[in-house]
Amino acid sequence: MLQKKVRLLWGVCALGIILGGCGDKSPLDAKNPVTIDVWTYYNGDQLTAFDSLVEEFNETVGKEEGIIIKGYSQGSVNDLETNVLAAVKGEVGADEVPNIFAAYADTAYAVDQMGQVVDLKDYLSEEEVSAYIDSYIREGDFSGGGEIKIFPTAKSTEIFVLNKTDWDVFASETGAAYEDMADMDGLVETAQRYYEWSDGKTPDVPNDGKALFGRDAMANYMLIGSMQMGTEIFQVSEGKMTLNFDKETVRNLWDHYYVPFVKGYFAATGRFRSDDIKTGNIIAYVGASSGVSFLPESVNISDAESYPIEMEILPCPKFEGEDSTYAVQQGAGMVVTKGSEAEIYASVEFLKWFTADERNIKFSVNSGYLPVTKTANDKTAVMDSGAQISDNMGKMLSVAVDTVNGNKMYTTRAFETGTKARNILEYAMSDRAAADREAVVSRLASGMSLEEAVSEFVSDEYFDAWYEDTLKQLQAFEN
Amino acid sequence: MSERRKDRTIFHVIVLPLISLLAVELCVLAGSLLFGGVMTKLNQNAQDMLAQQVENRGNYLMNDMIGNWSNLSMLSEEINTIVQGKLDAKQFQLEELNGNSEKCTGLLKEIRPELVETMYNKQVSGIFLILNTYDLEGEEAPESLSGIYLRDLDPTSTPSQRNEDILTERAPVDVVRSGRIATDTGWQPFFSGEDINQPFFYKPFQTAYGDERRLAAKEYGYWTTETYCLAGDNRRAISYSVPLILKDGSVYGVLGIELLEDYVQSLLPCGELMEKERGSYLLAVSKEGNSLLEPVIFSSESMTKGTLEELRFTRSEVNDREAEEGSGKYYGAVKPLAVYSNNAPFDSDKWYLVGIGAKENLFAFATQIQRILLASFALTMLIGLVGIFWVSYRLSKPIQRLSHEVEEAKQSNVLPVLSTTGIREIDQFAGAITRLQGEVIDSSTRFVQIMNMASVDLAGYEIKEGHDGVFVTENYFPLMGLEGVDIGNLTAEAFKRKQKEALQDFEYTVSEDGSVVYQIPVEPEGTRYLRFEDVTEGERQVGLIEDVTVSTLERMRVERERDCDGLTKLYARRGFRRVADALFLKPDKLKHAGLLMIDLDNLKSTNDRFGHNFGDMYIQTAGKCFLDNTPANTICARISGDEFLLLFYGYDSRDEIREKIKKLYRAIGEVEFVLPNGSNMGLSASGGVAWYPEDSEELSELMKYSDFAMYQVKRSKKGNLREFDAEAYQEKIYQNQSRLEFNQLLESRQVNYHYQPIFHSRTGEPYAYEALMRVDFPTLRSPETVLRLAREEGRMSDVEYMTLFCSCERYEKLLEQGVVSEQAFLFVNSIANVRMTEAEEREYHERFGKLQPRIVIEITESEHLDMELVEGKKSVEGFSGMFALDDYGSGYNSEINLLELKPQFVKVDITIVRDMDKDVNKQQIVTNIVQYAHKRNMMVIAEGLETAEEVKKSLELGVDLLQGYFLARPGEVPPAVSEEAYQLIREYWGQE
Repeated sequence: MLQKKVRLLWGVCALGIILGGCGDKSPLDAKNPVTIDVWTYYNGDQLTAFDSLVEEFNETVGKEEGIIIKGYSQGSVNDLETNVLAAVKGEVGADEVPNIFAAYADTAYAVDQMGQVVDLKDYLSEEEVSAYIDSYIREGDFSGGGEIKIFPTAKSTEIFVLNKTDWDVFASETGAAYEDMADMDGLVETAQRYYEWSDGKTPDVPNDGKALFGRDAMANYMLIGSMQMGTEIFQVSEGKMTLNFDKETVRNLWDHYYVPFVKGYFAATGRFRSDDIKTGNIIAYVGASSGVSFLPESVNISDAESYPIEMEILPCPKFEGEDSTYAVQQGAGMVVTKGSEAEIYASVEFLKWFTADERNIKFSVNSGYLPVTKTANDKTAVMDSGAQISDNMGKMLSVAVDTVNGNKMYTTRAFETGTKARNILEYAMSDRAAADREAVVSRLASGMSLEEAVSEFVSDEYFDAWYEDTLKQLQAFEN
Repeated sequence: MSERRKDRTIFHVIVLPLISLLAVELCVLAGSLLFGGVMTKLNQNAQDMLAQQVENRGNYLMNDMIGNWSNLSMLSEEINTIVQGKLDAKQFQLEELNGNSEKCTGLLKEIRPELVETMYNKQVSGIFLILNTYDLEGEEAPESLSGIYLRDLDPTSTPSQRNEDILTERAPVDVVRSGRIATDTGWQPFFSGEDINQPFFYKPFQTAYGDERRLAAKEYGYWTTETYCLAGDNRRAISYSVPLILKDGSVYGVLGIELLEDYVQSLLPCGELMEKERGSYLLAVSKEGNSLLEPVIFSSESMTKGTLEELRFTRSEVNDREAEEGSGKYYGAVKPLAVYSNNAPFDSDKWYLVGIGAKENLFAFATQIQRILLASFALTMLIGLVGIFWVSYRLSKPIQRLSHEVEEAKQSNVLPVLSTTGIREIDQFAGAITRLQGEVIDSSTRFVQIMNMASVDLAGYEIKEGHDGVFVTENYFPLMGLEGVDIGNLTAEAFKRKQKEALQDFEYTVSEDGSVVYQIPVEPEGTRYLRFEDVTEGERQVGLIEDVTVSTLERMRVERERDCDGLTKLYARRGFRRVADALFLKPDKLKHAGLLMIDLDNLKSTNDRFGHNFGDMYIQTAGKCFLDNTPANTICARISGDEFLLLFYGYDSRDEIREKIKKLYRAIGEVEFVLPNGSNMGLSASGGVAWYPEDSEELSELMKYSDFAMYQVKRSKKGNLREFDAEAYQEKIYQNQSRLEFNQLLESRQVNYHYQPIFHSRTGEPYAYEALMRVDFPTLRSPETVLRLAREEGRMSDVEYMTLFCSCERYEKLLEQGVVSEQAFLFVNSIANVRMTEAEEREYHERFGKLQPRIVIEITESEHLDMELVEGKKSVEGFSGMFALDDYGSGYNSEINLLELKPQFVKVDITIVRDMDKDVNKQQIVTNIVQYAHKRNMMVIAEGLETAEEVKKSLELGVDLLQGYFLARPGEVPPAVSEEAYQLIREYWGQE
């Protein structure tokens, strides 16, 4: 009897050891789940897609392992950045630092400088790391020593969006083709043709031609355009930026945006170019692939008149240059902050789960972001995933995935004043263009010809002045 | 107590009270919890906490709703001013603010920044302005309206400088183009008919439009009582809107703020209500005095939307801060939100914030406690019952087994072997009983055996009071020599009578222990001695007869033998005492008696020379001689080896006895032996007689006296006879007493010292004191006796020690008291031939070192001086070296002593001083001594001066120091010189 009991006891012990062994080294306990706060800037479809995945995680893997993910949308990227920095600095009224927050490289870098960011390299095997698109992983390597401070979750690039309905009218009448807009020169030429074509529609009203094109992100234009022409404006090494604002290159950028803008070939009046499409201001623009869900379905020429439109997505036009195969890489990644071992472990578990191919594609097709792993960033994989894909979304993914796979993805390396420096690039040319265009419009209204009206602005002197001014502004951020 | 206890098993005795106790305890516990209202209080507490949170949150919310969100008067005012300005400037007509006119677009462009700013400031999620001047119910009711509707999806964040966080929901195309504000996906350039019918526009506008009261615009303010979605959008929201009214009362539009459902939910953090976010908030409205709370917005984490929408709360009629839910599963704490002023048109909409908690969660704590309590009740009961039964079983089982074993043993008639119970007290009890029973059986068996084995016959009876019968052993009457008594049918009375009859003729003696021994003559043995003893114990009388014939005869024989001396067949000491003591109780029988003690002389030498056999024969012969030559009634006894006592008694005078003794001594003188060496030898006995009643009436005293008399003979001339001499006896006693007292004196130092002053013959002042021993014992009074006894007993050194120490000790006290002169010397009488041991001398020096220089050792001249010892005295450490020679002129070798001792003081003996004034020879001797002494620097002391003449003569003869009763007697405290003597000395020297 006793012997039996003893044998049973040994059995129980052995079972305990075996089961204990099965538990790996996980610091988690399913009975006492660890709660992970995730801050994002997602809205609309993106937020819905993210929330549904979080819910799925909490109900499956999270439940098994003892992880509860709580997502908080901070509204916009800027809000997110402000709140994260406030939390990290421990400002009055700020929330606790979240376990994970979505961030662009600059914000991640700033928080990392405060010593709050976990190097995820220690939590991922080489095999796991190699599954992600290399440039996405490199974005979080601030020191250049192979660290991973940003976990890629959702990326985007730029695409060329076209109001096919209105384009087709123009194309059929002028014989213009998509290929015409494959490079920058062609784009500007086509825009001029479009302006002149539309101006000709009302012979009695001079200079009422319409703009073909607009841009959402001017900084991207300047940075990528430079790269394509062989110059990296912000050369960053170990957090220090060296300015490389090549005048010739910049002049080229000027000529392919500012000049057509003041002439009225390009335009930007609404907040986003999609707004301009909606109000019939333009019919094409270059914008973030992730904005695809905001593509308009109709155009309101006036408060009373509107008509439905069809959209087309094309690759972005490029500069002819040393290496024109550069494309922009954007979209925030996830940053894991320092905390208990369990919290970090749980955070990484979630992010790995979130970016597994199936989930990654699901999130992509619902949010407009691009998959982050090599295997998921594949047209066939996306199409075969069985997810419901809207028309525009399908078009976008098709173009964007090709863009990612066929180009060198570029994003500026993080440095301390990166955001501010970027803002110079964002607004220096566009603000000047918008202001000058207004001047041009009023000159035209006063009876000047287009040539006369723009002559002052397209001069070399005018460019030089602007260049020097901008250079000075940028130099302030050097080093 | 008189009631008989029920016969119950031990099991019941334990179980029932314990179960009752348990029940009572549980009842008390349950009662205290039930009637103490703990559960109700806990529940009430939970409700109160919920209500408090709702109250707090409601106050916040109300604060925002009234003070912030619905406070649109400033913005209205601004807009009115702008519009009024334009009207005044004839820029447009009021009627033009309709439809899609350019005027509207222009106005909206102008107002948009104000709207954005207000939206930011108020932290609302949306703001809108709709322009219209038509009656919505009239014939010209518009199909679409111009206006603007902006949204900020994150109202709590810092506003974006470039308005990047704002979306346009409604605004004319021109406004969108100009504004750099993004359009939302559902953007439309105008408000369609669908929008117009939304309460947020329709209600305030139409109410104000049609109202003739012309209230202030804010009175028409309206909170939508249901969430709504804008056409083309799926975000739900509520809003507050006021009509825009110009001073002239014309209504031209509606201004409002919007709160997205999400945003409102974030302002109602349901997590604060209950733990684990189990509570929910409900923003609700009751309309037209209806008690039903129509839900507007729920904020909940724990409940699904479906569940929430099914909930229908009505306001409690009992407590206005509570809401009741249809199913009864939920509890609602209500906080009324007074968002309208009393006379406002929409005042009938009553707003409430309701905190909802599922009762099972809300009261979970109390329920949990209840469950725990119930479980612990049940468990306590179970454990208690099991425990009670187990303990009772454990207790009663072994006792049952024991009783069973005892029962079995009783039936099988053997000593029960009881098993151990494991309970110490019971085991001890059982063991004690077994042992007791064993002992009882043992002793009864033993008793029977003893009875049987006894060499004497035993018989007994027992009579119990109240019982007629009597128990008698079969041999009871036969033992008395009475055969044929039928003891079977004997009554107690008959038994007692029979016994009395049987014994009445026999002699008996009563022994010391109260038993009676009868002598019963029986054939053929002679006499049978039967010892009767009876005891009455309570109701029982027990009697025992014992045949003590053998022991009695034996005892008689032994007594006889013990009284007799085996050798001489005379009485031994014991026999003598027994017989004589009996005689001394009867003085009339004694009359005059003489006790003669005889000690055979030469027995020891005879024994030594010729052996014990001859010695024995010598004694036998003497004994026979004493027996043969004394009258028959004389009691002769040999009391030890060679000592005999003969008591002559019954005579009328001592002389008669003297005659008999003389006759006996003559006979003794005639006895002759032939010694083994052939020579003849006579019998010689020393004897002492003491008389009754002259010397004493006590036998023991007489024995002592005769013994004393006999020893006096032995010490003088053996073989003689002497009568007791009381005087000699007393002397002897006295001496013994003195010795006793002397020893006591030395032991206890019960000695006193008196000091007699020695005066200087010139001044009459004390020059020295002599310490004189005083003893006070019954037989020991003089120092001389002490010295004599000391000498006899060899205790001289003790006396010396005592004298030196005690006299100095007392003297020191006198010095302390200041009654003696510090310059005076102390004369101490030392025993000449005795010296203290070295240790004693050391002690003496340590003790009296200060006094020593003034101590004079007085040596009595009467003794022979051992000069070696005297020299020794000189060497005593600290000794002053002064001697005084006492009694000079009375002892022998006085001169030699004087020469050898070389004293500083010479005391002229009292025999010389006495009557010195009348005897010329004595004067000559004194003159010589003075002459001799003065030449050698010695001082002469005259002691024992008792008359004035003696003193006077001493002065004349040149004596230096004077001592005597005439001057001063010794005293514990030495007296001063007598006045008479002092005068004498003064006069004497005055004459000179």
